[in-house]
Amino acid sequence: MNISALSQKIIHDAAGEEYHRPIGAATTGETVVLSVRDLSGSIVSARLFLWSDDGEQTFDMSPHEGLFSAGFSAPNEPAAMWYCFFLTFQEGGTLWLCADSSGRFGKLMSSRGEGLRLTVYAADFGTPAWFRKSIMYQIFPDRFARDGSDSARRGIEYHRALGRKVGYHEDWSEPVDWLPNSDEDSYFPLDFYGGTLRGVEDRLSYLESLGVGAIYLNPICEARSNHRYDTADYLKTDPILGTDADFIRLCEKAREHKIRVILDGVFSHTGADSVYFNKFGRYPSPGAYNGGENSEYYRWYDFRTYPDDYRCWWNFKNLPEVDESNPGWQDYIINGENSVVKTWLGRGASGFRLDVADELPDDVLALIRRSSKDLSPDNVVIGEVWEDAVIKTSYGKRRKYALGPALDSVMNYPLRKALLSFFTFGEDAFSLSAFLLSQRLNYPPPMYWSLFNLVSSHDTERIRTALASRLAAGTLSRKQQAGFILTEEQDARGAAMQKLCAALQYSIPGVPCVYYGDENGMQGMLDPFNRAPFTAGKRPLTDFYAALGRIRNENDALSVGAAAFFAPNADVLCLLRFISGSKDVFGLAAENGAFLIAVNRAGEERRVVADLWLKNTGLSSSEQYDLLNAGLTHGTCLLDGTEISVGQGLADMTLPPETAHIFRLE
Amino acid sequence: MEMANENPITVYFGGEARELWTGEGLRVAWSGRLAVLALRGGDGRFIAAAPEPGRSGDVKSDYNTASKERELAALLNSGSAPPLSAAYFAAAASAAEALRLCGDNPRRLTEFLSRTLYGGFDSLILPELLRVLLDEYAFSWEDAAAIIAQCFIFKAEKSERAPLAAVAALSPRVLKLAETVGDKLVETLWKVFPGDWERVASAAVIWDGEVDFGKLCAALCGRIICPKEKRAGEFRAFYVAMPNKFEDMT
Repeated sequence: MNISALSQKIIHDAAGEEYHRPIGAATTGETVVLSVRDLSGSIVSARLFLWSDDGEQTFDMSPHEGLFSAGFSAPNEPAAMWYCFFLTFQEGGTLWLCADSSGRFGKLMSSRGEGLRLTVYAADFGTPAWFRKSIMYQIFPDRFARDGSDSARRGIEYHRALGRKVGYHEDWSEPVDWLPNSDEDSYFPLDFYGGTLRGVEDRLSYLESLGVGAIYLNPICEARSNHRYDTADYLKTDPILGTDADFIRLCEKAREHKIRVILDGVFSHTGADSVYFNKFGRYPSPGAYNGGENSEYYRWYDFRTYPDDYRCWWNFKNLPEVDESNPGWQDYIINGENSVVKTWLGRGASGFRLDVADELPDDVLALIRRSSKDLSPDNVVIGEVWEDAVIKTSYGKRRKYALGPALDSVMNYPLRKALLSFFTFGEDAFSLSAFLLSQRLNYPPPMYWSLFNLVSSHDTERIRTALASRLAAGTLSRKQQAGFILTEEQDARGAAMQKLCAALQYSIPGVPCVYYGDENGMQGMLDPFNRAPFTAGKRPLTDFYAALGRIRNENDALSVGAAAFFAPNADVLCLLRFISGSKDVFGLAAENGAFLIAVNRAGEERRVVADLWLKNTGLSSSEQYDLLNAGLTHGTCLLDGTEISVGQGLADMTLPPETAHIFRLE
Repeated sequence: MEMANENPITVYFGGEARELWTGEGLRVAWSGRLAVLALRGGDGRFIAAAPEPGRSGDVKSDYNTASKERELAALLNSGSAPPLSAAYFAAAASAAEALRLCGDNPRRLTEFLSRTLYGGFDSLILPELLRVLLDEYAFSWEDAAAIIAQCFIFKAEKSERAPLAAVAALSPRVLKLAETVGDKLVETLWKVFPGDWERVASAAVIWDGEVDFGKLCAALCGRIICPKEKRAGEFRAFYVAMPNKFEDMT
């Protein structure tokens, strides 16, 4: 068989409805049709192979006018699936049509290769509508804003009274601690700046001006460290941050600004210095460590040899892991009437971002989500996942947390990586477009339009630093990172690129999340340098972020509209968002609108023509039909007022160097 | 014009071309092709003439070749030559003449050659120039294409087509290069329109066993003058992928 001669004549494109119906993920039980186009006329029979971790099925494919198709019902259980085709030719030869390197197109092979993907998600999977339309803002609570009181100092004294060697930065502008400060000669984050919940409350108007609809707070429960991922008391606000009443009031006041509060749920481990483990005896009741079997928490932990050999997160002895299947733990954290989850939601939180979701079993994640939804279907549960959540495996097991019962959303670190690669010239616009389309095709729509789209977090270098330095921060020593300062030229370039990056972040389906201070031009390498107190950098972009927030919030299509991606050249990415028929992609009432987003990363002007009628860019045929008949004739950029004309679906634009445009098309 | 007549240009027809990688890069070895001399006539058109027959020792072979060349020259001058052959003769002669004006620096071609093509058979000058720059001057593809782009404007009025075999009969190398132009174009368009074979095929230089000279012009000419209807229709893929080439037809 001459594969080269046949390869352009035997076609399968997972982004084309002709070949993959429905476009993208399917719901459980939904009819799916997968097809192969034979332009060579030489295929005599074709067979579809479809498999998941649970087994494989095959289906005969029926020919009709050169198109071989197989229809089947998606399984009743959510699953990440794969498929390929086995083709028999007139002269008796056989070939496999499997996934090419992009994962999107069929590629002829003489032996069976990788499969193309089919995501099957729960038919009843739904995510909160308010969340899909929101803009998030992540706050590292100790570093965002002080209030005028001395409550933080009192909190410091509280910890000191317990015997903790916590430090306090009198001066907000002091650099963060990073030198070894523990008995083991390692760094431990015990320096505090005294940011408080009241401080956050005082800045609600500022957040509202940015268009923020949800604050994601890093942990606020009592804990020894400044990051508070070593929970000491799940039910108590850390005294440095304030009181439980402060939290309740923050949620109430935030609602007045149309802002909700999402908490960090750190449930896979506790602090060793905690009510539950009580390694240092700082709490009056017996913990698992100091009380042994007499402690009501003993069964939460896995002691290989009591008391010092216990399972802990990444072998950090200060973070003992819990057994999430323990009924007592489940009752305390999730199910009980006064569980941790219910308590904080009852105090006014609107959901959780679950730390290290991979460490929590799918059924436990589902319990947390169900418990949250029982209180209000509007509560949201987000997982910290760093990879493609649809096909992620952890501890040798395929995770299903993206497919329905377990999570509403995940942190979209793959998007961050793709955006950084593009804006640091590691990859071109064609690659970015392909990546964006692959996320559209592979994620279940309820999660896709809710993805937590971040470009910085407390676990990464800040976006300004990443874009300006183009360095892999992880390759620098802590000392190098501490001393790293962007030059004026680097910062200026970083600021220019950050604007483009933000424009895409706010336009791509999903929920954009701004890490505190990014909008203000803050710089910073990895932890702890990315957690400096909120301050203004040399080139703040606050007005730009506010404009993006306003534009997104005023136009439904930019959050819950259909999306198509294309790259007219290596430096320009275009994105189309639109709503027609007054309904969003979920069938909910929404304002009609069409928007063309065009970003030119090049240092030179680029003339590009965006073809709004392109096929196979992520739209269904009905969406394409609506677009074709929308009668669009011109566009106005909502950022700078630039006008473009549109004729026969073509928008001819001249994009100045390093610019982003969001054109409203009419 | 006088120059062509004092030192006639040789245009070759047919034969077989073999690509050889040598220590000095790619070389093309020819066998079996026919030579015709091109001279400027009084009306400025090229007139064909048979070259002086060579005598290499194989008298019969030389005789046969010389007689075929005589016949070919006569056919070209008779006015009844196939239009494609006549166009190739004129195109190849023009290309050689312009390059001769450049002396030993073919990069000066843009000074001596500026022409508008309309998508007809005379567009054969494009792959012929590519052939000379690549095979005889050892230019890189990018350099050769850039020089040619500066010399030609495509006014999109027609799109004549010719069977591959007919082009190969004129010059297998010219056909090969036209195919390569098509392949490179597909590569570019596939990036812009991944998965949209229909769109990519709409811009194909080689389609259904024929060379499409309009598409060949669009691929190689530096400027395309085109009515809006064609820009949004027949040449839509070109317009989206390479908008800087396009100018509105007034």
